[in-house]
Amino acid sequence: MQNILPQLVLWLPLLGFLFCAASGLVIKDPKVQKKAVSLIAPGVVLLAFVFALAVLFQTHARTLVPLIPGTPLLEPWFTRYGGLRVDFNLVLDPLSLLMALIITGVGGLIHVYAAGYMAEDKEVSRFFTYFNLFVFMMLLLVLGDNFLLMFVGWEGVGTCSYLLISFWFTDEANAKAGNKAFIVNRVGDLGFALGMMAVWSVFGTLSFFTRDGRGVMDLAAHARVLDLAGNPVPAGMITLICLLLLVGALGKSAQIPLFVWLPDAMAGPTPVSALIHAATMVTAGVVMLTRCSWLYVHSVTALQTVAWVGAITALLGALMALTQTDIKKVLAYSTISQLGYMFLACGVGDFSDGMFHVVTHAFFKGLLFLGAGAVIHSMLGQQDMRRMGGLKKLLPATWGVMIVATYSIAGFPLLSGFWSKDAILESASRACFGGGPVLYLIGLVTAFITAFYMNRLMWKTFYTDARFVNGQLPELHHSNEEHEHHEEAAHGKVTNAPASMMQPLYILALLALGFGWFAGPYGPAGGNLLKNFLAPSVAPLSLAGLQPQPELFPKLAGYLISSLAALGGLGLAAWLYRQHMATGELTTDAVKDSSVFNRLLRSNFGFDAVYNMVFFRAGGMLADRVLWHGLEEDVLNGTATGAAALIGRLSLAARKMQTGNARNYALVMLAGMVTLVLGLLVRVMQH
Amino acid sequence: MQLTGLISLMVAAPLLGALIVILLPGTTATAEGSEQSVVGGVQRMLLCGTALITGLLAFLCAVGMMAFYATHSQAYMQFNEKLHWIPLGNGQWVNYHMGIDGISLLLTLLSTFVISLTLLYATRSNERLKERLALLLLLESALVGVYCAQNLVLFYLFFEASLIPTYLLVGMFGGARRASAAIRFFLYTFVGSVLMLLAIVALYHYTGTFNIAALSSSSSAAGIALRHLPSQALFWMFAAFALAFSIKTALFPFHSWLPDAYAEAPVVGSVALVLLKMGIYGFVRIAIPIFPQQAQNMAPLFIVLAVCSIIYGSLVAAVQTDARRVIAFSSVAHLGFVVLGIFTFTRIGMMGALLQNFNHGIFTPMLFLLLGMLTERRGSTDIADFGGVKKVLPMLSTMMLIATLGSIAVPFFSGFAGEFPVLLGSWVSSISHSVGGYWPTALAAAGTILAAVYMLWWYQRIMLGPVRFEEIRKMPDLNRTEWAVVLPLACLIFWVGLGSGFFTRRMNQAVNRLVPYYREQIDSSLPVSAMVSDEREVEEKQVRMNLRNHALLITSPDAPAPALQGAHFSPPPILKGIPVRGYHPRRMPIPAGMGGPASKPSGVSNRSLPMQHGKPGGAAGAASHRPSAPAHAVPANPNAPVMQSGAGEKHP
Repeated sequence: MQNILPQLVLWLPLLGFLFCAASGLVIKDPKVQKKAVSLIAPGVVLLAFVFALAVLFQTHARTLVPLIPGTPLLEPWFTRYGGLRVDFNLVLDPLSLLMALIITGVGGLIHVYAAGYMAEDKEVSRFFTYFNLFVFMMLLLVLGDNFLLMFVGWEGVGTCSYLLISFWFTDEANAKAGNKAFIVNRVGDLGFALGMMAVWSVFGTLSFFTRDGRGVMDLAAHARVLDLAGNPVPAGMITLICLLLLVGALGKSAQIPLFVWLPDAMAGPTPVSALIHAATMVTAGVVMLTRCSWLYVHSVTALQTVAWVGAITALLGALMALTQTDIKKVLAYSTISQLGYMFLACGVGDFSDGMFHVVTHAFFKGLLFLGAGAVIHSMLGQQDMRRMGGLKKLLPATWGVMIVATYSIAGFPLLSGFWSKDAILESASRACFGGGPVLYLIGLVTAFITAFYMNRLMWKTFYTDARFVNGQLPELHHSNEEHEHHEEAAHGKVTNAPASMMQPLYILALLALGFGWFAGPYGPAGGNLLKNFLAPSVAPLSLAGLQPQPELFPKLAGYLISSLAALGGLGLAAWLYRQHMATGELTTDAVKDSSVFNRLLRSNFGFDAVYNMVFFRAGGMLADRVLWHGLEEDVLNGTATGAAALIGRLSLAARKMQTGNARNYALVMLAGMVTLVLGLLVRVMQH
Repeated sequence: MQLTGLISLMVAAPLLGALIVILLPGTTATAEGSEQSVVGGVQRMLLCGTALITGLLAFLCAVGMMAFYATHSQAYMQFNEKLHWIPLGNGQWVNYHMGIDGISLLLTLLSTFVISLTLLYATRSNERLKERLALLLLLESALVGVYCAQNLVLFYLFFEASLIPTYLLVGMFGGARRASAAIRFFLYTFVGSVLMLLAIVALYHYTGTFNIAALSSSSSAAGIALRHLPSQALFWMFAAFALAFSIKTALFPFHSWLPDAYAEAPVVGSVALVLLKMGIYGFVRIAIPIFPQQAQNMAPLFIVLAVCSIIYGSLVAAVQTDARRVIAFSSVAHLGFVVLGIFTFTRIGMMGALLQNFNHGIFTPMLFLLLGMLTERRGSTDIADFGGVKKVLPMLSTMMLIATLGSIAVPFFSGFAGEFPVLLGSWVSSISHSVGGYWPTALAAAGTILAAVYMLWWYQRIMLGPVRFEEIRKMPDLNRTEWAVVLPLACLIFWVGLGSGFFTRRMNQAVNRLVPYYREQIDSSLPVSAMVSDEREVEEKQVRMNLRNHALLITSPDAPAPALQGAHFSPPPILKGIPVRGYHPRRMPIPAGMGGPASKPSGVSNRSLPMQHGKPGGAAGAASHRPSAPAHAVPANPNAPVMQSGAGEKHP
């Protein structure tokens, strides 16, 4: 029984996927099909959430630790050959359970929302097919008990992300964005795959935990990492493994230098952005780091790399969010920046606070995206904030939930984001490998910028004067249909999102308000609920003998400083935009274009341009000119054709001997006979 | 359970089918240029029915053998069939000798399965239907023959026989540049074939046998004779085989026949070309077992070439403008993975390679077939003539997506189940390390990124985006026959991806034999090497136990000689002077030529055998006929029953 519940959590979304995929065959009436799919797809995910909750309470009753590592599920998947054996096992521990709850919980809410958001699209069943498959793959990623199953989920979610980004594929740009996401993720996956091979070559297994204590994490949970024979693993090997796995995390979690796919991924429908590109998939890197924390604490180099990559990404992501005009792109860069925070937390060894931020981020960023989606839906597909403004009066409910999410992400005191972000900042300031004050400062500046750009978004969208004429909104809804019109399209008016879309927002708003307090240090039951819950899954720094540096200042001072940063950022944005109510712009376009800094931010610090130049231009040139036209066509084919031509010419020459003239033949015969006789004579003379 | 006759049935059924198809009335061979030829309803049904039934019959034979294949048997080959064929004098014969092991089994299954589907595909159009069906059936027969042939003459015969229908398919029905493509294909493979023929003749000259089992055994007279040859001679023979198989495999830089042939061939021809897996098969059946040391010495070179194939094929695939050429160059890359896995000399890499070889035979034909359906509707293969097809043909696009994802090795699709073990084998292989540390693996793995680049871009340009041409709007989606062609392939892609064990289980013994423990090249500095060799010991002990219990004893050519168990260990001559990693004295191989009266093959001249064991005049094969004397040697004489020897011989 105990093993059945987690299996149900995993299989239900798969069943939903199969149903949605086959719905077209089973149900002929498209209207009925649409209705059935919109019921079943969110239904299975919510049901999975209920089962996940049941698992939580079931295990909670038997004390929180330890859950069931290595729940055997199925027969071996890769049958044993050549020493490789990979089982289809699940691991059920606090980390995987927490993630399963988020994926099915937040995922279920977003599914409900999506049923409303996609209601007018003709391809709802295709959408939910991919969406349910995504939930299954994501669950596999977090529940898999070995690197290979995690990798299956890892690539599986990438594939679903590809399919969903290019969901409206008739627009070439969307298709290209999907390709970009898949390919950049593949770069990360390469690192993950190589890391996995390195793990196998050292530990002889890919399992995280096994019953006999020979899993990778079991072997790593010593003062020194042991290989399969019980000898300590060289430090260089651990660092290599950690860095290779980190490459995978960089790709999936859109960290510098592999972040370039995430802003483009906003081409997908907004529920996709909310679930995949904010709440769950992009946090997979953090989940993986936490899962492998047992390895990472043994390599200070790897930890340091994670921390600095995270800090720099947090800062640059926030800076890039400053200049975006597309409401979803602001949120995309914001996601990059927040993921940077999570990496920073993992890098300084505070994995559980990293996961804390994963949870709160899932709530407030999911909410922000859904809210933005509601705005976009109400504006008939308009995503450009320069065409918005004054929506507070028209969409009060949306404004209400958005303000909660904004204040939460900005770190407004006592809201969810405040607790998780502050915990990260505190840990960063005490980084065991030094440099803590710098990391703290970067984090604090990022917090200030975050507050600023989020309030900028709120002001541009909700407070400043409307920059559109209500009643004459252009129809901009995405769709694969070429001549589809909405019912509202004729009116061109801003309309409130339907109730089914709004209800998930209220639930998420509550969580964005209160979850931080509930799970944070001053919560119920003695505080630090989440940290204590996660403790068995997370390696302590002390395992490898690392110690955090002493605190820079008392806890309360830390709270005060971060509150000031948040309030300062929010206040500055409000103060500035209050002076430009009419335009919603702080300066004119001409001033913006003349500013080097502004252009730098708008061009992603040139990452896209450099990649284009190196990989597409230069790489394409190499492939096309040098390899294809040069080597293949000229040299290789040339040789083959040349050889054939040579034979041809030789036979032409030989043909000339066949003159048909008897005298010539006689001459040749004579010459031959003379040669023969001479040869024989020479032979005879020699003896 | 041993069934005999299945293999012959599998070879004969399509051959017979081809003959009937040719002899059936209602010729469709029309003059060049005239496309329409009217075939009456009954005649058409007869044609298609004969072709499909005989093709399916062969497939069912393969399935039957799969079902009755003894997975754990240590027999070298199962379902053996042997008949005298060509007298060589002195009571020696070239035999019609067929047999099957796990590797052959998978390939016969693949060829018969895919060709059956291709036959079905071919029945959709009337254009020169008869020839197409007959040639496909001939090809099926020849392919199965290659994979089951147990001596080199037979192998060569079927090898060459398979080229004829392929050449005709490309040359008769291909695209605009079909003539040059067909000629280049023929020239390249012909060079390879001539070299191989020379090597076969040389082998016979030195050993007096064509029997593959005898040649690849280290304890047979032929094997002993081989191992005492000057290394120069062995090297040149290996080089000839290796070059022939490299050309056939389209390993960089011998690949340039492939893109042209793949792209200019008609759809059935492309599929036929993809199914020509004799290159890979030749490596694992002939080049490596007969010349293990030479192969191992040359392995670094092959790893370099394999990595070049992967990177080069991928890069060039990305810049093609013809839809079929992208798939053609992707084949170069995929086969690079196969060669990489084989020459890692690890069982895991080898298994991955064989699986990848199988996979390539699934998703590439599927891509070609789907592309064929698409180009039939559009009348062009230029990528620029497509765009937005998914909007009009959602089902065809979905199937294409499945094949595409299989090709770029997304987990749960077949490609991953093959590529991952290959890369894993390469990561731990000391041969890869000797080439350049972990870099060969990393570069090969980078090929998976490039695969995503060219395949997704290809898919995007054809399928996604706005509908760019009015002609596309009018195209119909998959019909029933087309579903029947592609759906089984799609299912197989998932089957391999999810349950590769079903396919690898039967190859376990063959792979163990191919990479014996003293040749498994896992870097001994990696902790996993000890685990692999220990597990292997346990595994092989288990197999031996099972065998004793079931009294299923059929000598494998490499089986240790009972007389030597417990004797003082001395490394076999072939192992002297080469580093043997993870060598376990506990599991002794037979020191070559030390096990009593190994008979001298009568066809061997004295100077080719520096060390003589046994009486010079001893009748070949006599040893194995004497029930009292344990036979350590698989007789070189093709006349003697090679595989079947008494139960007590191996386990006293």
